[in-house]
Parts: sequence; C-alpha cells; structure tokens
Amino acid sequence: MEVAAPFLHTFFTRLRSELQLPLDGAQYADFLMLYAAGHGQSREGLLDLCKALWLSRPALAPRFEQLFHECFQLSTPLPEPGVVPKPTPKPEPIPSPGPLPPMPPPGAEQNTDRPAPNLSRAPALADIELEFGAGEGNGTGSAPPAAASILETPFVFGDHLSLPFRPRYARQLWRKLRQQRYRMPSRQVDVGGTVRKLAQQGFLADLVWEESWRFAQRWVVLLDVCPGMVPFRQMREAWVDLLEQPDANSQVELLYFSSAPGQRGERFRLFRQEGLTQGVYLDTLAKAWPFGQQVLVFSDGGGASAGYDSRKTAAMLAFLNALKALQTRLAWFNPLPAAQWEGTTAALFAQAAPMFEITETGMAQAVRKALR
Amino acid sequence: MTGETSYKKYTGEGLKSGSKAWRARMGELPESEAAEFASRRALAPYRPSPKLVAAVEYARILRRPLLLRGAPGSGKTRLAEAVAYELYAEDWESHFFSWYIKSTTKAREGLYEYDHLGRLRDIEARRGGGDSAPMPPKTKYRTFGPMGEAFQSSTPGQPAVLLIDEIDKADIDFPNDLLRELEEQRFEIPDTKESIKAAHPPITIVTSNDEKELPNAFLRRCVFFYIDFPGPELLLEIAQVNARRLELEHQKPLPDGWLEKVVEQFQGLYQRMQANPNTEKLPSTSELLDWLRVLYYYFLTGQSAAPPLTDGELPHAEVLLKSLSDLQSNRQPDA
Repeated sequence: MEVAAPFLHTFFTRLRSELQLPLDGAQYADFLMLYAAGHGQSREGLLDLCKALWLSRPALAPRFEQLFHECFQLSTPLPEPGVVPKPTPKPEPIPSPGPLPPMPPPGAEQNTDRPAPNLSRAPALADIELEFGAGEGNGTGSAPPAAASILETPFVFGDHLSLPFRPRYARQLWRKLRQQRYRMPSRQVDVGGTVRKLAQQGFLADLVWEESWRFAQRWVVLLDVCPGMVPFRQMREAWVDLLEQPDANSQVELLYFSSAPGQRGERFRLFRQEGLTQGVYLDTLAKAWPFGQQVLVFSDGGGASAGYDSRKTAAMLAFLNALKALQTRLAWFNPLPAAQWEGTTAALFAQAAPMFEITETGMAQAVRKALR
Repeated sequence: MTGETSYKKYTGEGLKSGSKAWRARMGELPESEAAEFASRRALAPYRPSPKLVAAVEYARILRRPLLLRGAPGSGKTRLAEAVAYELYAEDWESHFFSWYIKSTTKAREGLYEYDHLGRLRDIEARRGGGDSAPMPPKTKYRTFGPMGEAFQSSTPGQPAVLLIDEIDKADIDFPNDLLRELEEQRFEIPDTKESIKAAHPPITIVTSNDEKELPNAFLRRCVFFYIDFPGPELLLEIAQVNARRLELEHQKPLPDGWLEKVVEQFQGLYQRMQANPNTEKLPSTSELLDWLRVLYYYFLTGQSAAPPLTDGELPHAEVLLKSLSDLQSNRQPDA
C-alpha cells in the first residue's frame, strides 16, 4: 500500500467522493499490480494507467485529469519502477463516499481553481430569508448581494456540506411554494348558495358546491440522466429529496430522459424509470395536468460536455416548445454555473425556457419568476 | 499476472516483417508456398496508438475485458481482429471469436444454445418406432456460442481473442448477465450438466457506442480506453500503411507527396467541421480510408492521370461527408 501513497490514494479517494466514480479496493489493487510490473512510470504514463483502470465515464475525463494534476502537485517521489509491493497488498478500507479530503493548510501550495471559502462572508440566517420582491434577472448572477451565499460553488461535489445550496434554505423555499393556496370546489353542497341560486333562476339547474382552500401542488420533475450528468448525480438526488419532503399537500412525479426527450413523430417520450424504461408520452401525461402545471427540468443542457449535437438540440427545443404549448409553468435548473452556459447549447435553451442555476439565488428566482 | 510464463505481446505493429505470412503478403514467397496463404483472409493494416497498445496489455495482465469506446469509424471493432492477426498471423481466424450484439441478444446465446426442439423430435421419432437408432447423447444438441468457443479454445500459450461488439445495443441487463462468466471464466450448461471452464482467459475486447450507460457492476470489471481521433502523425501513418497495401496489391505506386496532401486536406476538413457548430457528423478514420481507396481507384483506372487533388476542391466528398448539410457546406474547402 505504501507504493503509491499518499498521492494516488488521495486521488483515488477524491475520484470516489468528488466524481462519484464507483471504485473499489479491487481496482486499487489492480493499479498496484500494474505499477509493480513497471507500468505508468512517467507522469503521463501514470495518468494513462489511472484512466485505463478508473475512468469508467469518458465524459468525466477533463475533471479526472484536473484532479490528477491537483493531486500530483502534492505527491512525493514514487519509488523505483518494478518495486513489488509487500506480498499481500490488501487495499486499505475505502472510506465511505461523502467526506472530502481535508483542505490544505492556509498558504499551502495547491494548484486548484477552486477558491477557498471565505468564511467572513457567511450570511446571517436573516439574510437568506426569501424576499420575493427583490432582485431581477434569471438566476445568472444579478442577484441582490444579500442572497449570495458562500455555498454557491456549483463545482464542488460531495456530501451535503458541499452542495451549492443549504438544504434548509431549499426546504424553506419549496415549502413556501407548496403553501400557495387555491380556492377549489369541495364535495359539500352549499345549501344556502343553492337556495339563493334557485330563488334567482326560478329553477334548479345544478347544485352549488362549497369552495375550500386547497394547497394541491403537483410538480412534474424531468431529470436528465445522460452520461454527462453523472457528476451531478449527488446534487440531483439532494435536490429531489428536498422537493419530495413528505407533505400531504404536494406530489412529485419524477420522469427521466437522456440528453433530449425522444421524439417519435409528433410525440415526445419520457421514462418513469432512471434506466430509461417504462416510457410514457408527453401528450398522454399532459391529459392529467391542470392549467399551469409546474414542470421542473434538471439538466446541464449540454453545457458540461460543451459539445454540439444539432439533432439533440433541435429535439430539445421542440420539446420545450411543446411544454410551452401545454401552458405549463416551466423552470429549468442547470447544475452548471451560469458563466459556463455561454457558448454551449445551454445558452440556447436558456432563451427558450427560463433557466436557473441550482443555487439559493437561482432557486429563489425560479420560484418567483417562473413557478408562481 | 497473465498466468503465462512467457507470452507474445501485442505491439500494434501488425505482422512481423520477415515472417512467412508477411512475405506471402509482400509477394516474396515462391508460388508453391504462397498457395497456402492464398485462401486465407488477410486484414487491412491497423495502427493503434501506443496508449491503446498499453491498454490491451493492461487488460491481458489483469485478465479483464478491455472496454473500448469512441466515435463510429474510429476502429474499435477492428482492434480485436488486429490483435488476433498480429498474434496468430494468417491463422488468426481460428483464434478469433466475434459476438455481434443486437437489441434482442441474450447473454446465454454467447455461451451456448440447446436445441430442445430437435431433441424432442428425436425422442418422438423413436417413441413411434420410426427410428430404431439409439438416442444421441444430450451434448449433440448443444452448440457453443462465440464466448463458449473462446473459453474452450483459449490456452496459456495461445489465448483466444474474443470480440463482444456494441454491447450497448443489448438490453440494459445484458452486461450484468455476463458478470460471473467474465470474472470466473466458466459457465454451466444445466441441460447437459456440463461445466465449461477456460484453461486460460481469452483476450476479451468489448466495444460500445455509449448509446446506453453500462451498469457499474460491469464497468468495475473492465479496463477502459476511449479511442480519440488520431493526431496528425498517427493519421499519416495509418494512411501510409493502407496506401502501401493498395500499391502492393495493384503494383502501381502513388506519386511522392500525394498521400501527405490527402491527409493534410482531410485534416483541414476535420478541423473546419469540428469548429462548425452546425456539423452533423464528423468524418472518422474509416471515412479517410474509404476516401483513400476511392482516390486510388480513379488514379489506378486512369480516370485521373495526375493526382486529382487541388486546393480549390474536395473530390468525391460524398465518401467523407454523410449528411446533406455537411456536404453542402464543406464541398468547397473555402466555403
């Protein structure tokens, strides 16, 4: 185990916790075996070896390489090639996913693009209370300073502490949205009203039903599960968990798609299962939707891969238009920071549908501008 | 490690120069000896990057499948054939097993199939007195699939090469159904109560176009490699070995510098298309080789006496560009 520690073990652990790569001890032991056999002795060779053994999702290659180089900065010289590890190179127990590696001490040299959090900027709880009347924009950075959060670092993946929003904040936000009330007919006959109507019309055409306040909220959540969304999986799960807080007043319907909902003729297909099974057509779903159905989309809109696929782009634009035609209240949540949408298809989609960052500011604006 | 005390490594260089098979290809063998090779299928040259060669070696040492991903036409499928060809020369086909996956393919089909209907028919024939011959053994009705054959053929000195092509075409559970077979290199046939175990793991190469995400349980058993579009040097090398083959086959050499110009023009096209967000499909190595063959054909048949490349046109662009909009916007390099 001492062969490549601590640098490679740190790297391996960060791959698990930050990129959510499903790596286990056997894969670390594979690395040790190949390294002992003389493979991966140069920096580039070592990176290639790690990629061959651990990079199971090609879309994560840029972040994988960045992490490698970050960790390599901290490395100590590796032993001579061909040194065989101790007879039974049992891998150390892998820590459970979640905790991030400790931050380097202040002043320690570390080549990282991620700025250290400035704790002095931590807002008081009062600062984060929702003020629906304040601020303008589409969640892309023109937020009032009071709502800005030290946690708005969307590229930090890991446990809840490193999400770009505070779960408590998001929970409050969704609760407020759920508490919107609507007057709806109940099942009880309004006797007084019926008699009045009878007296006015001179005949009984229909009963008058009592009206009551309802909180009924049903959210349709469309989740992109294309391979490029893998890095955002934990963020997505935390976000969906908060939406799904047990509440008699609301229902959340999760539907999945990959890159762009499949189109067959004029019908768009979504899936009830994450593995893209149990397909269901949008027009079938929409039959049960009320006017102004709230639809939440969670996708990077192709921003993470920065690629361009005209077929998928056209399909997604057509899908957004179809949602608009159904008179939905639509909000697109993009896990990437708005600064990174520029020059990608995400910027294009942001013009077709209201798109927001998954930050406290972005979510608040989504509620205020798109979902209410 | 590999379990082999000494083994022939895959180097990516193809046939060793001087070997009998190589000499047969070069036309250097006397006719009597060359006849032996005439009926055997020879493969077009394949030039992998050094990183890909290393990945094959990793997979072999770890006894894990090599999962290859990359754009269509990048040469994923051809790697397996090239490995077998380099290791076994003209005899490669007897060591190479390919399993082309379809959307309906089931994992068991790659291991074995059992002809229950045939057996029932034979039983009925004997029951009615129509056939007095004794019943054939149960194993007569069992046929092995590519993976089953590879397991049986593979030996420490001569590992088989197994290609599982386009695994992402199959049902999402398909890769999971092969976990045990890939891990333990064995499987059981309940109908005949046989247990088949590979004497040595075959070199398994799995390709995927990433149309579906593969399950984590399968991924953790693989070595990975993504075939990128080759760099200028490798691209020229690929073109050179393929052009050399055409020249040998037709005994008509290309003018000096012509091939370099072809590759340069192809790379220019690739870079322009890569920068264009409206591009529908980037040309791949496979398209370059097709284009090369077409250009050589016109050169060979005298339909173009001189090399037909000029700076102002892209001849036979249909071979490179597979969609109408790409064709319209790239037919003229200056467009």
